[in-house]
Amino acid sequence: MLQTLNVVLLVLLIVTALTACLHRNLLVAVLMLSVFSLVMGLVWVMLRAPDLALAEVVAVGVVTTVFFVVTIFRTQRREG
Amino acid sequence: MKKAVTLIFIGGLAAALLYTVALLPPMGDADNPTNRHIVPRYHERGEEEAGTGNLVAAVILNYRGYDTMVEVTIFSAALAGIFAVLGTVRKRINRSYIDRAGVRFSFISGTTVLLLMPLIIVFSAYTILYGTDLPGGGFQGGAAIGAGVMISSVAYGFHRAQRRLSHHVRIILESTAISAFFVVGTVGVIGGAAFLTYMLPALTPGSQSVLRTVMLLVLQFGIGIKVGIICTSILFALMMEEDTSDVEHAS
Repeated sequence: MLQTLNVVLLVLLIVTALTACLHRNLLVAVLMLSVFSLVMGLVWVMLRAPDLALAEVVAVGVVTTVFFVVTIFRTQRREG
Repeated sequence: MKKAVTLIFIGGLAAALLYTVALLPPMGDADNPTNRHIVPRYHERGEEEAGTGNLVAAVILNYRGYDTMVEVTIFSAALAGIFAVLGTVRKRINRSYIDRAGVRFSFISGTTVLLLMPLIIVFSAYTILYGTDLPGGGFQGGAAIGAGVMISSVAYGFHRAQRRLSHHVRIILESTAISAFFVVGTVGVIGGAAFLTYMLPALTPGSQSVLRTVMLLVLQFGIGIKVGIICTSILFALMMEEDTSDVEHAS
């Protein structure tokens, strides 16, 4: 059971990371990065590192995402 | 040609990295070099020496206290760099695109933030207070309260948030962590030990542990408030805009 969950989480990690890298819409990429860090938090919990999981979800998942979103809204887009 | 060279280089790098990963010892093995060097000491005597149930907090605040102390000043350096690049604080600008937008903030997002805020505050206070014995601590709790302030200032507009948390208040709160480290370290020096040692030998062993708990709490709260305020300040600096109304009139 835990093994299956682990595999699912790791596959999700790869998918979200690739989407964040390859997607042309920056907003989608940033939100994918947020999803990546939430999944990564779950992986940290499974690796028995709850401290790291909290820091990952709160700092990377929320704070950095808001910074990126604000920056995207404040900059202009040059490329279609 | 250029692409082929890049591809070969990246492919070689990936192969080398994967080969190195394959050579690493199995994850979580008790016989790993990292687990044999200093970790047994933490496991055996950490609780008694550091006085915390959470060994991560023991390492962060006690065994590696200097590390954390310098680390929190890095946050201040990052904030100073952001202010230097954006340069909006100096000009006393306090408007943002959210306030400039013709649409008022959405009722749904405002109500959601109102309902979530108390939960976020309680969660972050709990994380900071119990950080010495349970997973969590100053950084996590501070980032949580910072995230709460961030979502509320995004939902309700920068102008209202700025009025409640003015620049002067933030400047004072930004230095709480280093002040907490200074106070705690000085108490250790007065007690006759090195800087950042949590002791006062004149006390009885019973009150010694109480003092240590109080000092750890002071540190946790200092770090928490500082991290939360730094997150808020960076967001405010990003949201501030230069006043372009004159330019718009001219064009």
